[in-house]
Amino acid sequence: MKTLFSKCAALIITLFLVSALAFFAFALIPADPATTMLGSEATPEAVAALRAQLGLDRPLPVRYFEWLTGFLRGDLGESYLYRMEVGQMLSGKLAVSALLTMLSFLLTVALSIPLGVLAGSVRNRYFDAAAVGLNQLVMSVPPFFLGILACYGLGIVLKWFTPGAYVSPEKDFWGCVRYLIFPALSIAIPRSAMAVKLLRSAIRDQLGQDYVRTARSRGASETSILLRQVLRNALLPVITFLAVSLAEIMTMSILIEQVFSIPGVGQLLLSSVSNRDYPVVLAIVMLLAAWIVTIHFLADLLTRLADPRVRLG
Amino acid sequence: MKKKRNPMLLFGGAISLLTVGAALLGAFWTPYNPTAVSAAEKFCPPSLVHLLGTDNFGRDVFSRVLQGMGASLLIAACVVAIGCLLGAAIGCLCGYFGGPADFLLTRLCDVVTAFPSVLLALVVVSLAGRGTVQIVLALGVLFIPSFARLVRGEAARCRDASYIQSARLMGVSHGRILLAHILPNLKGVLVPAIVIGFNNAILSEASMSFLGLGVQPPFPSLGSMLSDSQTYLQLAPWYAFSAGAAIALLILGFSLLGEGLQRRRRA
Repeated sequence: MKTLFSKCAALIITLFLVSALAFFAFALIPADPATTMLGSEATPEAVAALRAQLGLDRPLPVRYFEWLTGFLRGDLGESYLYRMEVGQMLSGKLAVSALLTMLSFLLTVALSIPLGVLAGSVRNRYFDAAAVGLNQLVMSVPPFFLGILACYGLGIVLKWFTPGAYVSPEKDFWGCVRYLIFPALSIAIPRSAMAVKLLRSAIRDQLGQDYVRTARSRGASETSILLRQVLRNALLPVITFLAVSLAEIMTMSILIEQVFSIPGVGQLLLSSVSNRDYPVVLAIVMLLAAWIVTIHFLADLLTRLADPRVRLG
Repeated sequence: MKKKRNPMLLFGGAISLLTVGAALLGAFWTPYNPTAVSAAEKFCPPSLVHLLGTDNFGRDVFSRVLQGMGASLLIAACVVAIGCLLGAAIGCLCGYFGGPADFLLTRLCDVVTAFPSVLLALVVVSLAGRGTVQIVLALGVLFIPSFARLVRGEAARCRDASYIQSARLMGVSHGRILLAHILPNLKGVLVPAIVIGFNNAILSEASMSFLGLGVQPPFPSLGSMLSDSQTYLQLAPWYAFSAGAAIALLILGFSLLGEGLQRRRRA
């Protein structure tokens, strides 16, 4: 209970520090948003007026405090370029990215655990060498290249889907899911290769332990040892890895959204980076950072729950 | 004693040698000028004249891949050099001296390593602008914490070793202990970490170039080639395959090499 409390405190402090770092980094860049918005021919008076209107003439700590309290209340700021609430710009895109992330995550879990158990339990030299080699090869393919391969092989040659023909979830939810399966697979396949590698070596480790020998000598079947005892212990490191994957998948989806032209958070982030629309970049980065920090926090808690040794230590 | 076979080290070394050799070749000689535009030879499929075909400007894809691999390797080398040198220095000092600065820096490193490098690089690029130098500096700085963390642990372990204690008692200065006694002990953890860092740097650079935020055209870069080739996927699939396969081959070679080195260390 005491550790839970201090962990929560650490989470809040980390979030606070990250927000301060992000805000001051974006506030200290030399480019003045008022000049950018009005163009270089604007009169100094007009620039000063706009600065006052945007609140840029006040001291930084005050602006930070206002931004933070606004952020906590759900006011994410206003885009310089479109003069629009960031929250409004994000509303539809967040759902799409969340859907893609969830699909990728579910596919990663569904692929990695059975394949990992298979790779860990089959005791055949040739099978093992082939599995390790293939696994290493799949791990090396960047998800965005796998996405392009999927567009070509499954999209253009086999015509299972039309690359670029994205359907929005409001119009046709299942159509959207059907389209998102392919980008999700491109993210999930290399990711699960890493999980398979972890699970394989964890199972190998456990199979060499004394309790497995004891169980065998008592006459327990290999399958029941594997599924009832070995897997429970071997899954511990994999659970942490999979939980942390939720954070990695989010960034991978920035790249994958480009490949499959999915109008998600990643596309908005990239176009805002190109347009130097700082409030939008800041808001998205802050949301992603909060997501990542929270995921790591939850992964840590999960490990503690699953492993009594860590809980005590 | 029979030496344990280490196929990962073998294959990784072979693939890495091949890619580095190809990149070195590309730095001095390419079959065609990689930036020469030829309207008559647009989208030639792979043949004996153009080994990997030509792209939308009629440029030879093979020559561009060779040079792109060189660019990737060079950028990755600079990134890892920055990350490793600064990271090792910070980690060494923190681990050896300890104290409140060590505590703060370790916490900071923990936070930074939690963030995927592509996301952080995106932030840096949006602040500093796009370009090769920005990418190298951004990724280099982002690679510092992982090296610092690794070296810190190792240095802290060395600090309590008896030979360091006796060196201190003999009156050897801190600087000499760090350089002559602790630094050589770091080699074992640093070599695999450098290879793995190299790998991550190649992937991060390719990702950033793929997003159009890394190496700028007309210089060949595997990531930007891959993103260009996407438009012509139906017309010239070999363009995308060549660029993507080159990235995958670079990563495969260095990941196997890193893994093999780690295994050898443990064995």
